Amino acid sequence: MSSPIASIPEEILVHVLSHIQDPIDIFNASLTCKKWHAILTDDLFWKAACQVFWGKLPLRRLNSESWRSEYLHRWRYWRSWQVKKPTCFQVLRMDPTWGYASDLIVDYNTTKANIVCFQLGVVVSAGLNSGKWYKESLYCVLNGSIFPPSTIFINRSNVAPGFVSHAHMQNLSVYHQNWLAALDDNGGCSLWNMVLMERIGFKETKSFAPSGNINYMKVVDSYLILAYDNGYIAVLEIPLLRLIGYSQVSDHPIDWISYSSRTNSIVFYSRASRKIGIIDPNKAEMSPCFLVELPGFARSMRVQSVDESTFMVCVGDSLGSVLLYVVLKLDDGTFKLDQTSVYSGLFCSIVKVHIDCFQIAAISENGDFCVWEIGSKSVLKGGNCGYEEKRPRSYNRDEIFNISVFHVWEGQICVAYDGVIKYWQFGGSAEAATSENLQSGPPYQMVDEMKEQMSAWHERSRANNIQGMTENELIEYAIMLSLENNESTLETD
Amino acid sequence: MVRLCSSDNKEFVVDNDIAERSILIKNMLGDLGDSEATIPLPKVSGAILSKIIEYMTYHRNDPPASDDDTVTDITAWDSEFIKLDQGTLFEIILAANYMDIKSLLDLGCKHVADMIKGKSVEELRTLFSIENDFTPEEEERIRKENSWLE
Repeated sequence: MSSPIASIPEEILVHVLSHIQDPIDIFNASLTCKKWHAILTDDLFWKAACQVFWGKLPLRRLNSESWRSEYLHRWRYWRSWQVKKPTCFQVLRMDPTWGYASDLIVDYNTTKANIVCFQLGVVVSAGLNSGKWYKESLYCVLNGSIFPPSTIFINRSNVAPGFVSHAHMQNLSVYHQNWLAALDDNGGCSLWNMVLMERIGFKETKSFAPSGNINYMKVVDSYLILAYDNGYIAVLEIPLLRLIGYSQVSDHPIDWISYSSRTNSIVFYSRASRKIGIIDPNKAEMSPCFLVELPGFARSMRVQSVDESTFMVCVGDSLGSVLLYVVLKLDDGTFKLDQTSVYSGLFCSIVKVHIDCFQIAAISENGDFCVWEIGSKSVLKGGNCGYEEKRPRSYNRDEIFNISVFHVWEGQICVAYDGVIKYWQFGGSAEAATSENLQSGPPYQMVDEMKEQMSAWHERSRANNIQGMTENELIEYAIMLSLENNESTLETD
Repeated sequence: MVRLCSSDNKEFVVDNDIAERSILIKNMLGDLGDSEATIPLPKVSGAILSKIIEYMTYHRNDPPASDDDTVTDITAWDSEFIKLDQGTLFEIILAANYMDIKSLLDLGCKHVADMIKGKSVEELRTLFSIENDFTPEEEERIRKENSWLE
């Protein structure tokens, strides 16, 4: 029995086989014989397959262990956008008394316990599949306290020392359903643990930046980062809000901050100077490194880590372009701009951008959105977030959406505008969310884990010498102790 | 005009712009200057070379291949052209690789990938006359290791 394919040299066979696209076909082919199995399980084959499928990538793996996992990731992402007709899966109507949505944290694997943080100080979770708000998850952050739904009276230990105000919170930031940071109008900053419903830290923030007010705050990883309108940035360590450092990084107000956790870099943007800069919070002087001056005005910026020395900064500008900067953190702690690329396809001012390892997405003022693949720049999906109204794709003042949130994940899009949150699916892994995921409220099962963390912090503060503590540290310490007393009364549902 | 000589000493006379679809011939002509010399292609048989000249003639007016060209669609003519028996198909692929004709190599590879698409392991073995050299235990073990597919 003659086998023509057996006669061709292995190097060309690799090239031929790298044109197979579907991983299932590749797997079947690898089972035919030992020679093919050896070829198709070699990472060089997967690198070739990446090149054939995605053409001229910046040939660097994006956040993957091997070329095989890179290929499979990219394939899954690509597949997830291939469904032609999107389903507007859910429309969640917001209560007008909550104000505009200002932040949204979506867990697309379960589509549950998504936290929306509203400007008026309301934090609430919803199930995107069920389309229901979790009533028991409604937190109100007012008067320096966080009100859990079941609390009828205010726990004394929740009230900030010396806090006098009836105004709503100026600013809120939520991180991973664990941490909630809120700023009161006296400049006091409080940090809550959302699982324990306890205030863990409190800090006066006025003293860091003389005569400055906080423009933006963000709680990420292990930092609370504050940006001031006089160009200062202060970095505090959570949970105890110990000050790591502060410095004036700009002459202009700082408008946004993003953080790359793997490179430990803080990226900031100042609208007035149109400059993007980076600081390393570990360096004592925190001197800024200016990356670029943008050609237009940016309204949204996001950062994504690639590895321990590389991250991407994604900016949507007022002219409809999405700019992607690949930045290297050098060994000496300085930063270098490695690559710049422009993603086009939108035609008016971009209000929100989104980035993860494999894709960039942006939504413009008139509700048009675009999802691109990083590297190949091909458009995975384009459309308008008001589908059913058949909004025109041209720019029209009357058609401007008040878009406050835009979130994208593997064929799923979440957008909040004009008092609703809309959730679309384009196929992909959305069906993985089963109905049993939708019944539960906030993730109480984390309580045990949290308790362990708390005792670790407690050990740490006990190791500190109480005599040498400043007044603030003593307050923190007192809060820690009061938490310890409360621990025994915690309910674990 | 260029004279091309196959491995079995068949000669073909073609226009320069046709022959230069092959980067190999283009470079050789460049090295040789304006000479009328015959270009030997010792790795390509006459039957295959005539098929390749047919392809190059049809595509003589295509824009030159560039490195960063995006994936081009397969035209109806191309898909008719590539419907060949396996022996010829793989010889064309080898020749396209040797003669450096990227578009033809891509066409051949895509055709093979299409043949593989959606086939079971058994169907693939029959299709390509591949002998199964796995023991049943080995095959079972590999099937179980397919966790990377998830």
